[in-house]
Order: sequence, then structure tokens, then C-alpha cells
Amino acid sequence: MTIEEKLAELERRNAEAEIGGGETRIKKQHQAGKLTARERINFLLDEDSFHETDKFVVHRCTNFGMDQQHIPGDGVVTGYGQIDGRLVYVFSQDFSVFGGSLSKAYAEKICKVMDMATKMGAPVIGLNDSGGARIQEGVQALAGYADIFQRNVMASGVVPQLSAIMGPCAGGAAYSPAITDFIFMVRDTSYMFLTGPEVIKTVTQEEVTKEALGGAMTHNEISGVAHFAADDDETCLLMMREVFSFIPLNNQEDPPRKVCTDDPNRCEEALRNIVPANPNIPYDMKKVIEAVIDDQYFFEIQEHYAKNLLIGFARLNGGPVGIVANQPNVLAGALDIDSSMKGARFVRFCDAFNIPLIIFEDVPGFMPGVEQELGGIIKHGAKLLYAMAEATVPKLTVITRKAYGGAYCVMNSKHIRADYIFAYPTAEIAVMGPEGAVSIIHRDKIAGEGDAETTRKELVADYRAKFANPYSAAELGYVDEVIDPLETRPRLISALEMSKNKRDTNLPRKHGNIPL
Amino acid sequence: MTSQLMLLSPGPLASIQDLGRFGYRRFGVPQSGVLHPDLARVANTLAENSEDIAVIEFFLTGPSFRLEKGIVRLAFAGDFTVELTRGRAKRTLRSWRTLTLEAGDTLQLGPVMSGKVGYVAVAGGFDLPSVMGSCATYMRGGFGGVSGSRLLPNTILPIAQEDLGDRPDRLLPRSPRSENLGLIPTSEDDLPTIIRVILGPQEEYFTDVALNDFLTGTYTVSRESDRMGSRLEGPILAHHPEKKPEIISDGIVPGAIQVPGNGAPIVLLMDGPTVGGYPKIATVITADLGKFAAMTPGNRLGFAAVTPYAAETILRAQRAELEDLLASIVSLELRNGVNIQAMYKTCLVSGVVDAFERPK
Repeated sequence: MTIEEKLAELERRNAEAEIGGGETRIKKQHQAGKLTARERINFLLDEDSFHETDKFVVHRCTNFGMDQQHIPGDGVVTGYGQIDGRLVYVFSQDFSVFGGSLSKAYAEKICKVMDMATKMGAPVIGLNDSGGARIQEGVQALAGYADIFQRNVMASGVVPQLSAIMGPCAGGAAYSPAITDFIFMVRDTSYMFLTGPEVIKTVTQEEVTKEALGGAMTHNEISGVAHFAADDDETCLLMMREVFSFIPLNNQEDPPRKVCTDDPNRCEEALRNIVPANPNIPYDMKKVIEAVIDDQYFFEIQEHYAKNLLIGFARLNGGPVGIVANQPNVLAGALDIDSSMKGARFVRFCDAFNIPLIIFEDVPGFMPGVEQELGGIIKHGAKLLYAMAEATVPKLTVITRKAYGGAYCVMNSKHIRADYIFAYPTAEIAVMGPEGAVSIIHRDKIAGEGDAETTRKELVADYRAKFANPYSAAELGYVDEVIDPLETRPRLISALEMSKNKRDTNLPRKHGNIPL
Repeated sequence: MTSQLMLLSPGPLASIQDLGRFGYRRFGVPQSGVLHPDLARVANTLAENSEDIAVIEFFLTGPSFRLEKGIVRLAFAGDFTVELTRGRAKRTLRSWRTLTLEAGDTLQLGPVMSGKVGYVAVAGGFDLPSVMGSCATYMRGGFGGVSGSRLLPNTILPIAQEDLGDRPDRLLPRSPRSENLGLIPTSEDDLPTIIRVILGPQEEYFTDVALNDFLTGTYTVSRESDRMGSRLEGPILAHHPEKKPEIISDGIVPGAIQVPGNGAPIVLLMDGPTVGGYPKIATVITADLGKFAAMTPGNRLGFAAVTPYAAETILRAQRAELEDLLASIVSLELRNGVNIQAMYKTCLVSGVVDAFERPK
């Protein structure tokens, strides 16, 4: 063989690998409104930055006629590249090759990039589009999945892991994305479930479609399994790039700063009017957040799920922050099971990856209800408490209005190591609301007497004047500063700057025991 | 304890029907009864009723119920879903099964997905007076069923209470498929449904061209279709020039296809008149009548002529299939909504696929 022939051989093999399952199946993929595995990678990464590994790997199965069927790459495209010039490892499942089904060799390819990612300290992005385990591989496919799960777990909190679901993701396959930090789903083309509609029909006689059981909106709205829903593949990949811009490459790094063009000293007059003085009137906390952060740009996470708690990324003076905020517009901003879990997981992500936390607080308490109590609100609410108390990143709180009861303690209070707490003059930091407090303290006075209602009203007004304000907490040092709302931005930026070299640690231990 | 089953909304023209009123047609009283006796039989068999028990017949839009007190078992036949709300929990189940309601439960049946008709039977039947030997509602005459009228919203349905004991709910393990049982008209393909007929009794009143058009043309079920009959749109059938488009009035059976002077055929159904003066080109065979009656306006059909002997053979084969289907009914052992047996016996694993796409 001449060198030319050898080069031609390489070219032929490359072309064979790149065509995947062939033109017909690629066409089918496009007709389904989906990009191919390679198109997705090229769209996700900076132009021409992708380097493919294991292009020629094939499966080793000899059962059921598989020895006659080999396609180089075996159904998953793996490698590394860059997003905004920053290193990232990628695997992209190729539905056109054996239905994207997972073999042992296929799993080994994914494990290889995950091992490299943890060693080099760079995130892993998985683009999922696979029918599931390849049945011909038998238990080897299960071994492959478990090998991936183990790496997902070991990488958790070491390098960020992002998953996109861009096709089927059923059975055991769903557990790899489930362990990763964020799940992005594409509307209409993706679904995730452990057990499908057919089996459900047999066991519980319930009728359900794949879409209703595990579609993008099901997991974004109802189950909370997913964090983002995108209209199509392209939007999904752009959203992943956006998240990438807020997060560090690994747990040793700080998140990437951007040049800030928004004046750090900007005072926002509007902030004086967003929070109503009357504690019973709802308002949109997003307006407070947007008035404070750089360029009003709040990248919300899980916007369709547990809407009584807002979470998301933003920047303050160019530096990424994680925002956790009660939403008084929904359930009066009370914490319930879903919002506690939503908040807790996000707080832990930010803490793991050195992203400072900003808490906007207006919380009347925990959600009352038999369903909540029987559903274990104690245990789930404790998750948020645990996560907040455990976090050692800079933690700042802005109390806009109510901070009552146990929820006060949970929402990054001074007592669980908040670094700095601001309160608005509208804040009401108290053991409970005036009405409730009066009914306990003065229950003998308001029961029985001639004009009990008038007495009660007077007592409530009196309690409100004395305790429904930020000052009794400020007198005790539980609030660091009571501020004019219009100054929120410069004050937060300054407090963030002040806490940027914060070093705080937890006692050494194997791991804590968060109430799961 | 007496149970109170509230019919919240019945859907359009729903009524109480049984197998029909026989022996009174000589007095001009139509037969009435369910449009699709096989489906009603499935509902009654699921409910462990005898087949002549009255059921609710509904069209297109599923009815909704609330059980005010007591306990009631309903059975569902037809292609629709059943959404049960119990407390704060909602479950969507398929039809072809029974469901035992507890006080406070509400039930919303989904729209009929194939054909237009669905049936709800109640275990033990309804407590309704029999008029001329039948509980079937004849709405035009204003007798039978509940006060002789279509079912109205917010009606407490009178239930003949039955002790359910600890008998479990029952279901058909597989939905009856249209192709092997003439239960439901096929709506999946574009081909017209074939409805078989016996020609006559007055086919000689039509030209050869008309007879040929009738058997080869495609007809569409028009919007003018109800329990009385169904007007068809399609080839116009010319009467023989030597004969008038009318006869000396004679008896009519459900399934008779009358052709009035305008040449547009009408298939007469359960509430149809007992006598008529237009020539009848053909009569739908009993085996296909339920399927025809269940067709939705807009559905297309073609007619095929068979001999009376063939019609009987077809009917016998269809009855045997129905018996097989009814014999396949199984009891449901659901505990807390879970079929425990299935947890041991069926494969619970999803997300395992073949590397090869195999032709389906």
C-alpha cells in the first residue's frame, strides 16, 4: 500500500463513520424535526472546535446476528470541543445507528469522555436520543449503563453535567440524565420515563400517552424532573450554551465573569414601588430581581415548576450569581414540597460550583394542607434548610416583606450563616403575622368581652406597629442593614465584593445525611 | 343503603335502551332498543347482567356522573376513555371494563373515538317501569326509559340495587379490534366500510343502472342520522320508469333501505316507522346493522349483496366471535390501583430495544 492508498483508506473509514446509519435514516431524523447527532454537536460547540474520539469503535456482540452488523462509532458520537472558547466534553447519541441503542462498547465510549472530563476538570454535556438498551447485548448493556451512572455520581459536584433529551429516553437510560445537574427537553420530540404506557396499562389499567407520561412539559411542569423546555433542537442547544456561560468548568474554579456594561451604582427608583406596603397584596418578585441584576437579565430555571419559588442565574457587576426568591404572586410565596426540593437542589449546585447565592425573601410560612403534611413537607422542607445551612459560598439575603416562622429560618437567615442580610422598610420579620400573634397572646382579651372585634383590631394594629417591621430583628443584629429599596443593586454588589474572599468550611466527614 | 347515581351531563340524545319492544309493531309501535346490540351485550356481560337489561346509550360526547351516596358498579363498552376523580386523585382508564364507584366519585367519559355510539351498563340494571314489555326509550312517542325522554342533565338515575358482595371488577383483557369483530366501524384507513345487504324486497322497482350504482358506488353517512334512520349521500338511484316510486305500504324492519322519489336512500333503524310506502332496494344484514348504526356522519360506506344463506352464516360466525370475546373477560385484582398478579407475571422493564428495525 502506498501512502496515498493508506490516506484514502483513512478517508473512506472516516466517511463511513460520519454517515452513521445512512442517508435514509438521516432523512427520517430530519423529517421527525430532529438534527442528527453530529449536527447537534456542531451547533452546540464553537465552529470547528469538535474533536471526535473513538470514531472507529464497534460493538463486540456476536449474539442474534449482531456479528454481521457493524457501524463504526456504534451509535454514539463522543469527543471534546469548546463553548465560548472553554473546554467541554460531549457525547451525542445517534438514533440513526441501531436506534441509538446502547451496547457495552457504546457505554465505554461515554465513560471514556467522562473520565477525561473529571481528570481535566471540564463539564460533560450529554445529548440523549436513544431507544434504550440494545437487547442483543443482554446484561452487558446493563453493565454499560451502570458504568455510566457510577461516573455521573463521581463527577457530581466536581464538574458540571448537562443533559439534553432530544428523543426517547426510557427505562434505565433515564437515570444518567437524572443524576446530572440540569435536564433540557425538546418539546414534542422527547420523552423520559422508567416504565412505558404499555406496562402501566397492564399493572394499573391506566391509559396514558408517551407525551403525557414523559413529554417535555410533563417533566417541566408536573414532575420537576426537567429544568428547561425548548421548542426545537437548535433552541435547546442554545439554552445549553447559555447555562454554560454562567458556570465554572469545575469545582476548583470561580464562575466566568463578563464585562459589565450596566452601572454597578445604578439606583432604581421603581424598586420603591414594586413591593406594596400592604402585606396582603401580591406582586411579582421577578420585577424586583430584574431591577437589581445586570441588564435585567434573569435566566430562570424550572420556570414552569413550583412557581412559588423562583430560581435562576443572573450576573451582578459581571459575576454570575444564583438567585433563589419567594414569589408572592403564587401561593403568597409560601414554601411547599415541590418548591423546597426545587430550591434545595439549586442551592447545592451553586454551592458545589462556587456561585454566590442571592436570596430575595417574602415568605408567609410553609404551605398548609393535609396533602402537604402527608406528603412529607417536614422532610422536604428540611432539604432546603439543610442545603442553605450547608452552603459555604457567599450568601446574601434581601428581605422585601414577610419573613415569618420556620420559613424565616430556612430562607438564608443570619443563624444559618448568611453573610449579609438587607431588609427593606416594608419587611416584617417576626415569629408570625400580627393576626396570628394577637390571637395567641391576647386570646383571653378578644374572647367574650363586649366589643371583641374592635379590641382585636386595636391589638393587631398595636402588634403590627411594634413587630411587623424590620427593626426588632435589626435591633438584635439579625439584619445587617435596613436599606432604601432603590439602593438594592449597589448594596448587593458591594456586599458581594466584600464577601468574595470568603472562606468557610464544614467539619470533615464522609458526607452529611440530607433528608432525602 | 340505596345508591344515588347522578347523571351530571348525558351528552346529546343519550337515552335508556334495552334490546327493544317486540310484538307491538302491528299497533304502529316501533321496535326501539339499542342501535348496536353487540356493544350493549358486552356492557351487560361485563356488569354480570343478563343481556336484556337496559343500558345508557350515548353519542359522541361522553356523559359524566357523580355517585352521591352508596356504591355502584358501571360497565363501559365502546371506544372511549374513562376519567375517574376520587378525592384529589385523577385516573384515566380505558373502556371495556367495569368500575366500582364510591360515594363522592365523579366520572367523565371521553369522546367516542371510533364510531359514534357508546354504552354504560349498571350492575343490577336500572329501576325503571317496563312499558309494553320494554324499558327502551321511544323519544318520539314519549314513553319508555326515564319519563319517555332523552336523558337530561342533573338527573338521579334510579338504580335497581344489587349487592356486589366482594366480586371484583372485570375487564376485557384486549380492546376488541374492529377487523375481527364487526363491533366498531374502521376509521383507521381511507377505504369505505363495506355494509352487506340482502337485495329487496322491492329491487325490481329500480333500473339496472340504479342497482349497479347502489352496489358499486360510495355513500357517505349524512348529518341527518338518528335513531330513526340514516340518510345517505351518494349516487342517486333512479326508480324503474314503468313503476312509480311508491308501493302499497308494507312492513319495515330495522335495516330496510328505503328509496323515496328523490332517489337518495335512507337506512331505517330501531326507532324507524313500522310501515312505509317507498320501495326498499335492499336490507342491511343483521350482522352489519350495529356497525352501520354506529357510523359517524361523514363516514363512507359501500354496499355488497349477499344471499340470505350467507347472511345467516356471517351472523353465526359473528355471534361465535362475540361469545369468544365475552369468554375472555377476566376479573381485575386491583389493590390500591395495582394489579398485583401483573407485578409478578408481566415484564416491567421498558427502554430495551432491538438494534434492528424489523418490519411491523
